Amino acid sequence: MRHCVPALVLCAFLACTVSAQQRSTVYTSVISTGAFIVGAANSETGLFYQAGNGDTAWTHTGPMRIRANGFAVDERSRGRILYIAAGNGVHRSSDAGATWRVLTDWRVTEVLSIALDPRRPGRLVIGTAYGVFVSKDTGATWKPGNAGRKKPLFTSMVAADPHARDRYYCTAEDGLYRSDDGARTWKRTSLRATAVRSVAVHPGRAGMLAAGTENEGLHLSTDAGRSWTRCTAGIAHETFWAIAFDPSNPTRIYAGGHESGVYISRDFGASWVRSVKGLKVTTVHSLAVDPLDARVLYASTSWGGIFRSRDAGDSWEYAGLTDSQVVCVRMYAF
Amino acid sequence: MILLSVFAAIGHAQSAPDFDPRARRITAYFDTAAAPGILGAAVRYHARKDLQRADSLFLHSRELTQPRGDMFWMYVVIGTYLHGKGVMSPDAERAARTIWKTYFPYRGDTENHWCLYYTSLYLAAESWPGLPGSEWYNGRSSDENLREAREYLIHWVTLTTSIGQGEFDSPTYLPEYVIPLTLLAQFAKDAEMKQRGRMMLEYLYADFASDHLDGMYLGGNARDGATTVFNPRSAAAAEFAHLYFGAPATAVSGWTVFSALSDFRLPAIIVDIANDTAHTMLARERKRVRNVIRFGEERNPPVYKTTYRTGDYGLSSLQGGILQPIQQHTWSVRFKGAKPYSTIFGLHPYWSGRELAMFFPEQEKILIDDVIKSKGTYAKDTKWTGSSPFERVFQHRNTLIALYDIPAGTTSEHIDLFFPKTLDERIVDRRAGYSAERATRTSACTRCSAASGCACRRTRTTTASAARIRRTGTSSRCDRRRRSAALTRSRSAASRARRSSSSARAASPRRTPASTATCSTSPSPTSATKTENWST
Repeated sequence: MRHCVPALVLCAFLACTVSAQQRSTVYTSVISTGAFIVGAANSETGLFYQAGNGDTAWTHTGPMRIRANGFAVDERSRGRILYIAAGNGVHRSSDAGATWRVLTDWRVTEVLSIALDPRRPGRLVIGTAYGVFVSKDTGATWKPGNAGRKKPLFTSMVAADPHARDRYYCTAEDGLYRSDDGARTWKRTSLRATAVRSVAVHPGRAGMLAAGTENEGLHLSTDAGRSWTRCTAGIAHETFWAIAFDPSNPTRIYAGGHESGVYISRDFGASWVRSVKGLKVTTVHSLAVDPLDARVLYASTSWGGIFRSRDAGDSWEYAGLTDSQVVCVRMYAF
Repeated sequence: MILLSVFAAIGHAQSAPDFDPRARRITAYFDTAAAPGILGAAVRYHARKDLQRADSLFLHSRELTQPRGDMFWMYVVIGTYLHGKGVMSPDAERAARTIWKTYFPYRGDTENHWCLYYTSLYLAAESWPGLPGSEWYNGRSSDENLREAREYLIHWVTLTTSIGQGEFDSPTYLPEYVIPLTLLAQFAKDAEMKQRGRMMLEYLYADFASDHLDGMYLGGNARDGATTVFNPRSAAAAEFAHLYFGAPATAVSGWTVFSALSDFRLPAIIVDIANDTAHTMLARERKRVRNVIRFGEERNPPVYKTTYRTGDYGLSSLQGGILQPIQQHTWSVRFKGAKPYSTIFGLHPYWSGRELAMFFPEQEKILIDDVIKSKGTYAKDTKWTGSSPFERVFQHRNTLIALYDIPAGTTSEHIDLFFPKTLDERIVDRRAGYSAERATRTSACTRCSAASGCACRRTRTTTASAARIRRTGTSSRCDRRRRSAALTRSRSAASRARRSSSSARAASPRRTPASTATCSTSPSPTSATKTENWST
């Protein structure tokens, strides 16, 4: 028995350690708080993170006041390599946020999103107010990648397809575009809504993707964009900026946008229910599902900070970053 | 471009006796003020006197101890450092270097932000060459920062001198261009960049000179302030007009300190253009629209500005439409005189998320809420700056027609005209829709026509009376639109002064498709009009 006690303690310690290691990390980007004025004494904005421990405290990392529109975390590096897509350009840290380097020069500005492809470690694809730019050397050099697109080239979001090598999607003012050659050339999919604002690729099912538009609803495709179905059953809103798939349940999808709250579908978009219980701000910029516990969701809002759900979106609780315009939230399990 | 080549041919610079006393007045303020801040350090460093006090002001300045302000921080810190280089203490020198490693400024999202940012970064990178990225806030080496800043500045100079400035002719944002260029012209080690700085200063001041009257920047302007648009002599540009053109003195602020310390002097011909009251002048200028990122294929469509200036007034206009979000000032007459609020102008107070989304990348539906947090008047129909897609302006010399084709259901179904209380005389013929205004030697005649007539209403603002032309009644089936136009004719005239002020509201009756607002100036009011003195 005397020998068992330390062994039990050790086992308990290891269990806790494993549990702690398996906790997801939540990252968010805040572009503004309260009355943001360029050049004024603004409060902290930029990239924030927290271990998914259920409280409202967040840690800031990286430069402040750079209009951080989006970010990406290199999962292979377990959070050491971070990218911020910002008004100032693309920022990179290779030491978990201790030091940063701006990868882009004056030619690249108003960066709105960044996509990493784990199979192409050196390739970065960014969406900007002036179109798509591509780097093949981890940001050392950049080239525009907009062949096949019509002007204006405004691109609010780019996404890599994890199921098809060199395939990317980008939003545009005249629809959703797909590239099959590493974001060099693009072809418009059959989704030709006036302005597509968001796109999400299902992490587990090839060909499944969803797109949110300005004023023209939410659309789903099961064939990599060749055909689309507009989601209508149960949906009373028209502008969607946020989409998230449940990685553990292919039929469950979440979506949100302007004053919409969070819509939940449990049948791959055939029907939807609106969830606003506890969601004090209903304009939703971004949604993320915990890769380790699909019941846990985060919703980032416009001027309302972050909200968390512990019951797969049925109800929400305030999770911090008060008064902030939180434009992007993502969860990673390192 | 043509002006610049003329300057080169003339060659002689502004005489020191003109400039220097005015510059001394500015620097003296910061030399003697109790709490002059970092600019007090710059003045002392430049004069090579009281250096201990200069070091203390520099080291204890907010810019060094609690840095904030992004590109506005950058220029003042590098400018002060460059004036103190070689005479500042080693501690101050070290602090100046370190702060460029620890404070991370935002580059900003407007043309003036980038001019400030890259000019300051250029001078900083030139000041501390050969340093690795670890010694700079952005992780980029001295060489990388210098190269990037140089490339951008050359790009900006080329763009501006070929298709015009985007934030052109701004009474409020002029300093954000001339201050960094003054520092570049004075301190750049690279002879070409130094020359570019000097030439761009001459370019911008020549641009100002052709639109200058008595300290005022004649507008159309890309961006004007919510209060300076009423009172043009209170704008920051007036301080530079005083320093360089000899316009009436203004209160001293920090804007002109680096110019007052600079060895840059304007060619005399630019000063002459600014102050030529003996001739009428017609200037036609080409500018560019701010970068369009949505709802348009062309990045920088053209802006056409027309300015007709006499010794007494200037009538100036842009073509109308959305050329800038938020602070556009499309047309006005501004007149010489000792009184404030020396302007008459009009606008259709329009706002929309779509307008903002043309220029800003955030989501269209939240942009209005975002913008009004800092620019509170943007979404108010009482605002006095802003663009409208329903406005078209035509100007021929001293006559201006502003046509407003305002569809039902837009943000404001009226146009506003501003008439200052400080007019010497205002005569209104309500039935005909005419009014005549006089200020010192300038007379203006305004005709507001809305559909088949105008209903006039006096409104009050904090500074002046205003005339509002508002659509009333319902639209006819055959034409749901209402048209308004303003015609301005300006001429100088001397007549007796009488204090009056008034304002009017013009409304278009039902079933009449067009409304017209006409504003003009004439030598003297006709005898047929009825004079009204409205106390406001």
